[in-house]
Amino acid sequence: MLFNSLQFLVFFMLVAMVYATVHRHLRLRNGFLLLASYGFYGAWDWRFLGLILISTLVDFSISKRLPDVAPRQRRQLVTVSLIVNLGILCTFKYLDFGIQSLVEMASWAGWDLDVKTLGIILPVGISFYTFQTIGYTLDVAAGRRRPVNSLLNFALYVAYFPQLVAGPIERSTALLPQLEQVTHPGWEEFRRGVLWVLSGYFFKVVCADTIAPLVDEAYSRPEMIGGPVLILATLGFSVQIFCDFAGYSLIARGISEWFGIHLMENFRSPYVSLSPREFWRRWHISLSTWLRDYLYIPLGGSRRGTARKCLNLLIVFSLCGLWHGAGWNFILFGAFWGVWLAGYTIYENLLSEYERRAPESLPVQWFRDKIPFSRPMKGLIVMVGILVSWVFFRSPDMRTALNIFEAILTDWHLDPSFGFYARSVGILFVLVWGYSWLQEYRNDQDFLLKEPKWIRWTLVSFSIFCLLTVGFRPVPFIYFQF
Amino acid sequence: MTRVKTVLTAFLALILGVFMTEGFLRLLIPVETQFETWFTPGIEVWDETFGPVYRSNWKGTMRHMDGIYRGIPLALDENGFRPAVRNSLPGEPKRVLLLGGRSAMMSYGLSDEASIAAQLVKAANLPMEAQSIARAGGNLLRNWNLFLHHMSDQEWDIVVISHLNPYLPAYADHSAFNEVPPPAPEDWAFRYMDGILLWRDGLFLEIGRPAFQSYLGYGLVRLADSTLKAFDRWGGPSSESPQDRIRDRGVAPDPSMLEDYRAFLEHVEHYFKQRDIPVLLHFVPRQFAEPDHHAPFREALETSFDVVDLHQRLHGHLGPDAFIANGHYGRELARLIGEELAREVSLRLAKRQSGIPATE
Repeated sequence: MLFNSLQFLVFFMLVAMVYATVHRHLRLRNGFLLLASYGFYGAWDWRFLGLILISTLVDFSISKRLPDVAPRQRRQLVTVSLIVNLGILCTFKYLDFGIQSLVEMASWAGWDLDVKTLGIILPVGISFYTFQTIGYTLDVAAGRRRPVNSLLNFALYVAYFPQLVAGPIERSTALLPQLEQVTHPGWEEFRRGVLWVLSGYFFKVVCADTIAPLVDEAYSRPEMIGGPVLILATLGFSVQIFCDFAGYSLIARGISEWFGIHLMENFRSPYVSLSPREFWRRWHISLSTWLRDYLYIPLGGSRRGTARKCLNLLIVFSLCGLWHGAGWNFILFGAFWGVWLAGYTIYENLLSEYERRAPESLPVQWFRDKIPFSRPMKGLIVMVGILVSWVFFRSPDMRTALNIFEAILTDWHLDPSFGFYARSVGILFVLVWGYSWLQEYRNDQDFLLKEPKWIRWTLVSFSIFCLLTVGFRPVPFIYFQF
Repeated sequence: MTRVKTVLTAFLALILGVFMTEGFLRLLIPVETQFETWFTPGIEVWDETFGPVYRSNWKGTMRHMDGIYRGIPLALDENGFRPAVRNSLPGEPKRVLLLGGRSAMMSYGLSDEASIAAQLVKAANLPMEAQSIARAGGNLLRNWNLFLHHMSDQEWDIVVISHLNPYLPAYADHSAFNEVPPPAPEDWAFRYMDGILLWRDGLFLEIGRPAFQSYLGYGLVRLADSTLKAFDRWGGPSSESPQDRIRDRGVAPDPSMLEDYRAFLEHVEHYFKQRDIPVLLHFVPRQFAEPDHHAPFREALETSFDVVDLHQRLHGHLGPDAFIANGHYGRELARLIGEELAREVSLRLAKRQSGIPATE
């Protein structure tokens, strides 16, 4: 069931009506929300509810035992949880990719392996809820929170429908306490919810779905369309993926806000970042902080010297790429960021060292403050890097990604469609970037709520008219496939 | 006073919202994308005699939001058809008439060099000229009438009839087989207004051009249209006729309709046989269709006609990449269809030359 479908609208209206009558009774409310969440997920494919149930039951029962056992046993229990959760994830998401890669590698080595892929369907949102349950078990094992006593509350934590299929990947320490008490959503929550839901739909339906066909066409025939249009299409994809994913997160947060349950911020104006590190502090925050807390820091983080830190970054971001999809282009997407972040770490360290030794020297001043390392130039460099990574991300395979890079570097013919692309991509990029810049300038992601009434109402009517004009098409969210 | 101020603010917000929407979306979305035009405006005119027809010598582009944003140039001949194409082999060319089919057989979205007709003559190993008279939104009876009107005085060596979505109600009136024009208005599936596709029913057809004057107005009409259609579907039996359902699916047609269709095909075949011109009936490839999609029609017709099921034959090549722009053939698929047709046509021309009946 897509957020941008009539089916969901009817579903949500029914849920909201019932919720209004049961929200004062905790067990009733949670029971109802769990039922609605399973219904929401089951509408896509009820068979995969079994996987959510397995994850829920395994982590609930393991986490209940964790506080009472010795450290060695605790490690064993955590290992069991990881094997079950990652086992399910790997089977459904990576097994076919593994088989295919094995066959291809054997073929390069001259062996002809007669192994067929299994054609396994990828359950929607499996990466999101798997990480959420693993996070909970690790939190309990580390003593960051007590295990949940109520299976109902825990099951709702795993399957809470606004964020079930594409996040944000919630932390047990933030979401579970809210599910363990009655919440009283008020006028402020309602207003914030309206802003987030409307802007989320605007991002998804008006921006992402409008630009998507242009990007699809360019990426389907890179050899014909030429470098300039491919650059515009990649810029268009940067808008599309942001509007698609941030749009989903905003709708999820807005809906949840109406229930009085706060979900974490997942995007914070990522395209105004001035360094690769800053980008990942702003992009898909729930994933990047999850990877930081449960993978990067346990690997040693930055505590074991620069070389180890760089290695950790490479490992973490390669896995981050693999999390996004079972394909070499995704692994390369992650590895690209790992290498860039490692390189940036080395650059920062060198600069700090030089600055310590000769703070007034010209090179230090130059690198810190002057052109070409002024803020706009830094922003531009980061944006170019982001676009390079999106080429890996958007391409269906490695061959296409390489074709695109080749076309961008060598084929500079101006396709007749250039004007089409320049106009649509340009306007949307200016809109997205300008809005992000205003959020930063006002130091408030929800600054629109503080605008005068006539501006707010105009923007509401503008958004609604735009949505009605463009029309809702059942285009799935990009991150559903992860 | 506060209430008046609130109402005025709401009114101002509404008005500003309307203007902002119109301005923003006009900047963002090109006209072709918003209204889903198939051609640059002006290709089709309403003719008092023929109903919707293409203009003579029209020049413009085919541009569809699905996959050909770039715009493919299109120039029509004096009869409003895509121009005939011929190969450069020396000698008097054999003339092939591609009769019937709709936009797919018109090679919508493909340049003149990549069209099915061009691929056919390119693959032929003898001098050949091919003329397709298929049009988007047409049907075989309309195509036949256009042929009678424009081209019946020309010499042909073979005729290839395309079977795609036979609009069966069109064939009920046998006396209309030789009428020019065919009975209106039921025989058109859709028509174009300023390059915008109009279906036979719905609010857009009723409102016409005013519905396309503003982006916001268009959006609201679309919403109202789909809502009305949804109510229509809920309120009673589907407005889609049994003929419509048959038209787009491979289900077995009503026997009496099939007999009407067969009678029409026999009529056409008889016309050409009288002139010693062989007729080949081919079943065209369809997107998202099973290999035996055409089986109900094919099995009913192959006993009487010279039939080739290209859909079944090329089914292995009908993946998503084979199609562009809403199920129309891409270059590679057009090449395969052209090659298959060239082989079949050459075979029949050779038989004809050696005096063997084409159906053997």
